Parts: sequence; structure tokens; C-alpha cells
Amino acid sequence: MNIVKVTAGFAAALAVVSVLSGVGTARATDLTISGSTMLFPLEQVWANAYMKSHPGVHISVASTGSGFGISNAANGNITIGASDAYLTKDLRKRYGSLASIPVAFDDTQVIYNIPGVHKSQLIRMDGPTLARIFMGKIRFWDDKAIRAINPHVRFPHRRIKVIHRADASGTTFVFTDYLSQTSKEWYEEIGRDLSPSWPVGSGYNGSDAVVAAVMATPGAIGYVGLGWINEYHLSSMALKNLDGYYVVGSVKTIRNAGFAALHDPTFPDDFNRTIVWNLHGKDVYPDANFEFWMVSTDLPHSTMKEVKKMLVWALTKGQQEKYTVKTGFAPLPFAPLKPRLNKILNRLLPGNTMKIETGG
Amino acid sequence: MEPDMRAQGETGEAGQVLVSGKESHFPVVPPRILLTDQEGTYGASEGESLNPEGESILKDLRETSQVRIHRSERLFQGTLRIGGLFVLALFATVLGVSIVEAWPSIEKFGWSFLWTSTWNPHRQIFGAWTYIVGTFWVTGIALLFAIPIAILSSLFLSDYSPKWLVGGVSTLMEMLAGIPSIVFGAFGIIFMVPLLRDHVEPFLSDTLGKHWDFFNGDSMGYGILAAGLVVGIMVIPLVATVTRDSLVMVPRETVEAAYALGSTKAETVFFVKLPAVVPGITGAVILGFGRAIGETMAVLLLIGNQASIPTSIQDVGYTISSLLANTFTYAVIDPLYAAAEIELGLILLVISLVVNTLGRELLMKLMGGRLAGSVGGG
Repeated sequence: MNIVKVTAGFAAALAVVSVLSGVGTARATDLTISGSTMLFPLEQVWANAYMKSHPGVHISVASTGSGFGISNAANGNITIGASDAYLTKDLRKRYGSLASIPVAFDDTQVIYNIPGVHKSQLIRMDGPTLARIFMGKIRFWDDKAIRAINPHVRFPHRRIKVIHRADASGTTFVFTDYLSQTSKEWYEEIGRDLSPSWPVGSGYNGSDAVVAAVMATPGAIGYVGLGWINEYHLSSMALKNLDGYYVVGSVKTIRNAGFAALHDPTFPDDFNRTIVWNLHGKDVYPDANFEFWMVSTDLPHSTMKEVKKMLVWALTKGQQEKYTVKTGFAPLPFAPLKPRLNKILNRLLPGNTMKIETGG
Repeated sequence: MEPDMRAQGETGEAGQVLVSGKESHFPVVPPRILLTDQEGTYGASEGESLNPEGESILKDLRETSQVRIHRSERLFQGTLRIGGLFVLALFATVLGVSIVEAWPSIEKFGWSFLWTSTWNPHRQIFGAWTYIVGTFWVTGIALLFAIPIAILSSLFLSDYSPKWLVGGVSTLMEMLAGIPSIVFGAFGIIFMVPLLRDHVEPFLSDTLGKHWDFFNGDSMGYGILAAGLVVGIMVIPLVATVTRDSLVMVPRETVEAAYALGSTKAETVFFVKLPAVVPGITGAVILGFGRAIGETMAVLLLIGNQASIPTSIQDVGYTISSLLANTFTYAVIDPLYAAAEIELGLILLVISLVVNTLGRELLMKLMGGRLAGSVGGG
């Protein structure tokens, strides 16, 4: 494992060097953010805006995958590791020094390409049916389970072609989380993972490739995040939530999910719980998630100070719609988040209460 | 005059040393003894040191030149040795690191790793079978597609093509071999996938598929067929170049003898030239196999990346290299997962090592080493 770590570290260093080498001016501080490919576009606009308003700070951003972000933030190769998934029990045990800070909102939505069904036609889907489709147990679009939820839609008798991600992905984690929580079969046979062993379908590297494959393949079904839905003007399915409502993912409905979670007194302070499915409310999208930054509490004091400054900026000014919504995220609901964020930030740099004042 | 004589003799000896170093047949007195001599340890040499100043100058000269020669010689040798050993060390490091890092998986699964078809990181069960099968599927389709075309094109170029075409086509072949694989992958997505999805695969299902399930399927476009064909395109230049080189080397006398016996051109080409180059073709095919088996990017884009064993030509699949490319950065967070992936890499390494060595040896032996230049491979 050691050499793997070293190699990974070397790769991180290379990524950093390649970013740094473009800039010749002397800098006071260098921060490196690496990890989630999903969060990458937002991090780029943040880094540019932050560097403009904070001369002397240089931020390099790389998109390397959540797994890489988590492990390298823990061993100090990078300053901030970006991850789509919260720290599960296993990961918390392995990387005890990490604190996870929610920095944005995202979701996973189900897209489709059904010949003969118009784009404006709303298609409803519930967890168990979706799980059976992705397990290859429902094989045709006119299956009676699908027709039962959508009595108003005329489906063609066409094979369903399942499209999923081939690389390890946070989008997959959130998607399989929804399936795991709503379908017993899925939970027992496949479970929730960044890279599960898919029983059927075909895999593609990256969300762009998934969108391309779904659009090109008649009969396809796949899943991507909010950003891609907005960018390519895709229509997505309305997913059934805990209270039985069918909700389409949007900035508004996933923010509702965040509000619902944060108003729940049992929601843990370190955000180590999913906000998929288990939330009440009418307009609450059941497959939303926080995007995280992972910071090691072992960082040197001076670096930590800069990290905290950057964090507070990202959580306040950085939440403006010109950054978040433009790149496919929903702004964090600020007021209910504040006490919990304060707790995390004070864990990172004890004895110095941070003042987070206003939200986006 | 004795000392002078001696000095002359010694100068002569020094000259010998300058030219041929250790191979000097003169009874050269080793410099060490000369040194001790200077210190006057031996009584017997007392008489010789009558003229100590002149002698010591000579000795100094000799020593410095010898030392200098030795040093530069050794430096050069050492530098070369570093270069040579570096390659060896590099190979040993790659192999060693892979084995060490793969050890947890090798230890846990043993040989059964090779034929287990479950790959479930969640339950910590890893088996390579699905990926090995996928890899061989893609390689097989690629070779089946590439070999006939490569042989036909090289026969055409060596015997039938007008002269002005030969140069152009050979240059194009070499350029084709140099195109990065991602370009072929992109070509596959925008051209091969729609072609297969809309025309070739439905056609296969309607004709051959009616009788054999092997040709039936969902007509996705993506899958082992698309990946295999595109890898085949990448292998054609390699096989064609080597085949053409060996065709050129068929002795003129043999060909003329065939004509003299009354063969037509076609007969000469088919019954005389082609059998003569079978070893060359075999070597070329083995090299093509080595090229196809490790191809990553183009395959990753086209194969559909689904860990299932293909039962039809239209199915999707997964190869070892595309699995590594897709998931390795994620696998590093779990030691056993990472070890299993490295073991997969090790399997690929061993296969391509064996295959490449085999192909190279075969070509060298049968073509008398004259093909060395074109056996570079991809």
C-alpha cells in the first residue's frame, strides 16, 4: 500500500506542479484542491474569483476523483480534498484526521431516451421499480410496473438499455444510495458504492459520456447530476419521495431537501449522514446530496488559517448564484447550516471562533 | 649506462601500455613496485637508483598518463554500464513493485484469482476471469479483422500496385501506426458506433442472428465488436508493414524460378511468395496481438465497460486495461482492492511480455535477424 500511496502522492504533486508552473510570480500561500470531478467546475470559478479578491493566495484545482481527494487530503499531499460522498464509517476509521465540510448542493437525476415518448411528458418513477430496471429484472419499457406508475403515458415495447458510470463516481454513490434505501433487493445484492458491480447495462467514463450515450441510444436510461440536466436541457424523471410525492430535481427541490435535513434535530453535526430519501415534505427531492471538502485537522497552523479563510469565503460569498447555479449546483441554505458549520470550523482551528456572517 | 637502458626499455613499455593497456606482452613492472622502489625498500634495486631524479620524472609521467587513461576509460565504461543497468533496474522495479503491491491479493486468492468471475469490491471478492475473457474477445476480433486486410494490402503493395502508389500507401501506413489511440477512440464513437448500431448490428440480428444467438443482440453500437474493430484498425499497419518487409525479402531467384516453370503471376504470389513469408506473418500477428491486448483508451471509450462475459458479438464487455483506467484512482483507498487491480496489471504485463518475446524471437530466428528494424512494435 505504501508505494501506491507514494505513487498517488507523486501524481498529486505532479498535478500541482503542472498547475503551478504556469504562474511565475511570488506567492504567499498555495492551496491545492483536488478530488471530485463533479465539484471541479465550481471549484474552478471559486478559485479564480478568490484569487482575484485575495492577492497573494494561489489556488490550484485538479479533478482526480473523490477517492483520490479523500486519501490524499488525509495524508497531506493536498490541502483540500473534494468529495461527493460523506465519510462513511469505514472511511472515518481509516482517515480519522479528516473533517468534512459541506460546500454545495447537488443531486442525481434519472434521464432517459424512450422513442415515441415526448420530452415534455412527465415520467414518474419509484425506487423499487428503478432498482429492478437497473438490475435487469425489468427489461421492457412497457413493463406493467412502469405503466402502473405512469397510467397516462403510452410506452413502446422496446428493450431498456441501462447506462451507468464506469469510473468511480459520487453521482453513482448518490444514485445507488437512493436505490439502496428504497429497494431491499438492491440493498442486499448490490448496495451503495462509488463503483458498484453493475449487474447489467454498459458503463461510460464521466457524466458527459453518460449523457451522450443516453441521447444516442434509443431505449436508454441513465443518471447524471443537476449540472448536466441544465447544461443539455434534459428532461428527467420525477422520483417518488418518502411522503409519496413525485418530485423532479431542480435547484429549488434539492434546496428543500437541505432545509428538511438541517431542520431535523437528529441530523449529525459532522454531516456524516446521507440526505437521500429519509426526509419529509412535499417538494423535497429524494436524491439530493451535499458536496464536501475534506480537510485534515493535522495541517500546519499557517496553512490551516488560509484554508479557513477560503472556506468561510466559499460558504458565504461563494454561494452566490453566479458561482453555484451557473456551474450546476444549488446554494447551501445558510441560516440553518450556520451553527453546524461553526462547530466544524472550530474543530479545524480550535480556540478561535470564526464569524460566519451572511449567506449568499 | 645501465640505468639509461633501463629507462629506455621502460619508456617503450609505457608506450605499449598507452596503446593496448593490459594486453601488453612485455613483462611490465606493476606501478606499485616502482613506487616502493622509489622508497628504496629493496636493497637489490639500490644500484638502479643512481639517477633518482630523471627516473622519478619518468615514473611520474608514466603514472599520470596511465592513471588518466584508466580514469577516462573507467568513467566511460561506468556511464555505459549505468545506462544499461538502468533499463534492467527499471524493468526489475516495475515487476518487483507490481508483485509486492499485488501481494495481498495474490496471497488471499491464489491461482483462483484467474478463473473467478466475481469482482465485488464491496464484499472484497476479486476475480479476473471476466476481464481476461473481455480482453481476449477484443484482441481476437481485432486480429480476425486486421490480419486478412493487412496481408491483402501488403501483397497488393509488393506485387500489384503501381509504383507511384507504393510510396504513398507505405507512408500512410506508417502515419496510421503513429496516430494516438484516443483519436481512434473518438473516431470509433462518432463513426463506428452509429454505423454498428443503425446498420451492421440490426443486419446481423436479422440474418445470422436468426440461426445463432451468438450474432443476436440489442444493437447498442458500443461493445466488444466496436472496440475490436477499432483496435483492429490500429493493428493493421503493424502487421502489414512487417508482412510487406518479409515479402520484399523473398529471394528473386525463387520468384523467377516459379515464373520459369510456367506459373502465372497469381500462382507465383499465392503458392510461392505467400508460403515463404508465413513465418514473418506469424511473427507479425503475434506482435499485433501484443499491441491489441494492452490497448486502453480506444477500448475504454467503445467497449461499454460492463463486467459481464460476452455471449454474443453484440454484447458489451470489459478489458483489464480499461478497468484499470476507469477505477484505479478509486481503488487506492482500499488496500485489497488496489492489490487486486495491480494483480490484473501484472497478468497483462506477463501476457504481453510472453507474447512479445515470442513474436520477436520467431521473427529474429526465421528472418535471420534482418527484420530487426521493423520489429519495434507499438
